[in-house]
Amino acid sequence: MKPLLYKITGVWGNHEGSMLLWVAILALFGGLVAAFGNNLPLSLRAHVLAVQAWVAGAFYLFILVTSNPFLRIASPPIEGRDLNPVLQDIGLAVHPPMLYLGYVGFSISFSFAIAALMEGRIDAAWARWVRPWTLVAWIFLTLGIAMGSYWAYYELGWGGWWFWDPVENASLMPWLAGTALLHSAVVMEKRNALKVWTILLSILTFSLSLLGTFLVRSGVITSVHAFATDPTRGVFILLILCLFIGGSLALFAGRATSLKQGGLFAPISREGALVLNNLLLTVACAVVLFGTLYPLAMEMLADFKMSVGAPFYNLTFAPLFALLLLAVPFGPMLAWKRGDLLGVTQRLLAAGVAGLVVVAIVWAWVRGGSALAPLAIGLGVFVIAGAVTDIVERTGLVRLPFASALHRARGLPRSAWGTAFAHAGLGVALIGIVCETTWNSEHIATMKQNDVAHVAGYDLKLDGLFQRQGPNYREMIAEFNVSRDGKSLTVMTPSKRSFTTRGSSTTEAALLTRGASQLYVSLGDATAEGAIAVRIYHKPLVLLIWWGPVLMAFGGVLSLSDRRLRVGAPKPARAKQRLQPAE
Amino acid sequence: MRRMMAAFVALLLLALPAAHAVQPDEIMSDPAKESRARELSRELRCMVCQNQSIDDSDAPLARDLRLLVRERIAAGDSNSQVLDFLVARYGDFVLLKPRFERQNLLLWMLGPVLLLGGGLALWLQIRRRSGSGADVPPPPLTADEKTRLAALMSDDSKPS
Amino acid sequence: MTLWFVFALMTVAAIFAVLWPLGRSSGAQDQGSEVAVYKDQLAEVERDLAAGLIPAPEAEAARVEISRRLLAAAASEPAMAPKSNLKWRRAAAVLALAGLPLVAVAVYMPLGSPKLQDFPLAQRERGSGMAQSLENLVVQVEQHLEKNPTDGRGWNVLAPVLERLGRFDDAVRAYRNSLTYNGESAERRSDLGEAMSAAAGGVVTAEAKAEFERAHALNADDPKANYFLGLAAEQDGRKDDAANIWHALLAKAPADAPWRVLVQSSLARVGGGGAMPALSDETIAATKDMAEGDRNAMVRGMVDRLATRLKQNGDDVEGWLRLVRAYLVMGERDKAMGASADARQAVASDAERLRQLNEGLKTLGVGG
Repeated sequence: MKPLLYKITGVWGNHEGSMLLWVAILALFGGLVAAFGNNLPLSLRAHVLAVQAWVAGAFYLFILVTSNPFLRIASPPIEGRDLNPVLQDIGLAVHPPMLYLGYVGFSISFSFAIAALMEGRIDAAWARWVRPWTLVAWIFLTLGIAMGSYWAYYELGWGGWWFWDPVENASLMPWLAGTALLHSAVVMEKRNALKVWTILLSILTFSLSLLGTFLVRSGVITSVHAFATDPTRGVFILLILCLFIGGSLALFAGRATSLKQGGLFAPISREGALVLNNLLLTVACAVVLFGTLYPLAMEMLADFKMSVGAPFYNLTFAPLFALLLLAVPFGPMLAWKRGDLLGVTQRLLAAGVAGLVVVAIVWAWVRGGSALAPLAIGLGVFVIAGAVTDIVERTGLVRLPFASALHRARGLPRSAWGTAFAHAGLGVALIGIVCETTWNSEHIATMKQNDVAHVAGYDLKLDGLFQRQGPNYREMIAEFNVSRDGKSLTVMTPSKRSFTTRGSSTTEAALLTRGASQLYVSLGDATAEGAIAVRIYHKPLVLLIWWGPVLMAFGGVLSLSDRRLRVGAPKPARAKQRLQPAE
Repeated sequence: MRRMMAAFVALLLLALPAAHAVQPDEIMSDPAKESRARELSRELRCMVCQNQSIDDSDAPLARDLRLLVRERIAAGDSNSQVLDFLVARYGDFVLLKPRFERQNLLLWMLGPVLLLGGGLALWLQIRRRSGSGADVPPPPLTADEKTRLAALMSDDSKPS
Repeated sequence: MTLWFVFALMTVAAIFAVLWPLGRSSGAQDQGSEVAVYKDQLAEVERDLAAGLIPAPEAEAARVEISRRLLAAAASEPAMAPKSNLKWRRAAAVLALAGLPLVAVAVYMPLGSPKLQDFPLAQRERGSGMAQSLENLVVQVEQHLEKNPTDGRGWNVLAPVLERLGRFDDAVRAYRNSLTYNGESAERRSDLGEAMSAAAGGVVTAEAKAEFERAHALNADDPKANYFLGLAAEQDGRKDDAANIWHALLAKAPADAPWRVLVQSSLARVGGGGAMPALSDETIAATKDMAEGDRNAMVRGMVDRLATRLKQNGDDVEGWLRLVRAYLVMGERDKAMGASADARQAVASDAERLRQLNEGLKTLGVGG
């Protein structure tokens, strides 16, 4: 019997069920706005809910007409259809709801944008109202992407964690656009500037979510021909896509010109830095979008089959992000309107020196080799140190006596802490990515009993192979005794499960976590002579790749708890009375 | 024809047990050549899989391609010769990194062009606009504005 | 009845969700305003200034900007305040009361199927028709074997049934397991080989041939092994070898063996008709043609059955691949292409199956 958890998660293991989850989350967000949106003016709230209802209506219709989840199967299998063994995993239980909470959460910023366009009133207050909703969606999307990546890492058996697969790109694009939106909304809230752009970004972010749903759900990615053979669903989503993107862009075009210019600012300023951030994120997003759609377009228009894969994205995406990261520490330290680049540089000197020292140390330690990796690690350190510097500067930790610094730290808005954590998370993830890709060592061999493999200072001795009978599979387990410098550490037991009647097999990798690094063992096929193909990886600091996003999400939560975002809700009468004497 | 079909089917049946990405028996004895092979493998698509390089893929075809790559390397081909050979055989579809050619120009140039074009346009626009007032502090509040503001601020109990 | 009651309850809940806010007077509702936001922004500037986070001139400039926004917002607010309109509220209430149930019924009637009976597990296991019960029986045995894969007798029972159902690849697996847990026997080896050939669309593959050879080694008189070894020889183009094998088989065969006819017709096909001396050349030619025709008809029947089954239940990716393969072997490329299109359509809703299918089709050379 399948555990109860997988009976529930099995619901979104297929198309109809996942669309059901999609609309359920859409309804949930609408409900949340209705329940917690009492800091919004009534007319804005009404418009937001109306737009949200239109989106929901379109998707209810989609489900009813093309993918009814309650359809009766003519001859139902006795005990259900079973869930693919690879998907029977806690990661899959949590990953799709998280991702969908992110995807669909951006529908709220979309509804806000449309509502604002309909009312024709777009100003700084709007940016503050939309911020918590955007943040919630962004936090879930960040966690959802990270979780999916970790799931692929430990379940698929060769230790890859990001494949630039169209399905992954579909979730990355709204993330990039959503991150840009978060930043541009800050400018709008503070300076009443970038209004047109922020509204456009809200529309684009949700459009990319819809596009992602279309790409994944219509099967157009698997094969253009597969799409052509059963186009009903794809065409329906495409219609929804055109309706909402087209409609909102038309509304936008009609209203955008009538918007008044907001506050002015110099190129070197906080606003300028945020504009740069938006530029880089948008270009990165465009590159991913283009890379994902280009092969489809070429196949359909020119009948030319081509691929766009990881090497392309690494080459185009990495420089953009390097530039972005280089600018990240400067942003929060520049003043609004007109910043003093020289002054900020001076204040970031310590962070820069820290970065350079790390570059030198790493370079000396690995003794030459590619100069790129130490530089990238130095960049990561610079970003982290920059985030720390920002907090130190704001609290005056160095300039002021400790007590008053502590007082100021307490008075510091939570969103400032959130910014620091999120930016530091970027640096952490970068260090993890660079270490894993550069110094990942692997050992592929056929091993017999008592053979010893040496990987990155660890000795793995194959103690033996065992068979075991699981509830619905047979399992071959290899036992490895792991030791380092002659000291025995632990026993690792990777296994290979074969599901007898299904005739399929899954690989269960064994992971040994040491600090942030991991030893990764997975099994291949057994040979007739009792030997077995083994793949052992040592992945230095690999866990940082996921700690980074977790840190970023934590920053998001901090920012969300900032009291500013709750302002506007009328306080209960009694609280108001108690406050009055203080004035 | 039949014989060939049978061989094909046999291959299919043999391939059924899940193979694994790079197998121990594929590895070349020369580490330098092996690392070149791995590097190339990462840039080649396993054509029956969804967006996997042959370095990652379990499919039998990927294994054949990996062996082919190693064969060519052993025969003394340079990296680009190996790629040329595979493209001639399987088309551009096999390359995960599209070549820098006419039909892919748009794809490759999009990022840089957007970045430079967008950056330049933004810089010019911000400079032009900021020239007219970023440095000048906004005119202070007039007396009338001040009184209205004071009225608003003291009026905290207003049911808005 | 329960169903309608639940529906009614859900409708009432939905109507209530609309009517409840309408019933409340709008004046009492909480709502925010831009004024509140800007006031808070002003307070924030003061806080930052007091904490020394921003210098005084910057704070002053920000204060002026925000104050202007505050004044503008305060001026436009009364104009923006929504006025409650009794007529519209009544209309909304009527729409909710009447429209909601009407729309729900209008959507449900064509899409829903309220008259379908319950179909609980117990009833399902009893099954409705013969085909149903056979399939369910197979499912039950499969589930039993999933938990007790070492039950050799179970595999022995399951394998031929699977083969008859056209699930050749599963049958191959079942025969393999039967061999593992029941031990070697010539019969099981040749059964396995037969299933393999069937899976390959009637071609005795190298792998299947190896099984027949093993069976032959275990029992040189095993008729099935001998017949298929002959077939393998024929497919290899070694007609004389095939004829020899079949001659030997017929010589040893009991007179009432049901498969005598099959072997004789095969023999006629490869031109080893010497075993039937009384026939004229014409008759031999006729038999040959007829035999070929019969054989083709048999194969075609199998393929058609498979196609019909897949038309009813298109979930079986392996089945589709087998069908395409069979068409390819028979040289009917158009039908193969047609079948692959049908297959894509049948599994299009399931990304995983679609991926498997496309992978398989590409390996067969009809993908793309």
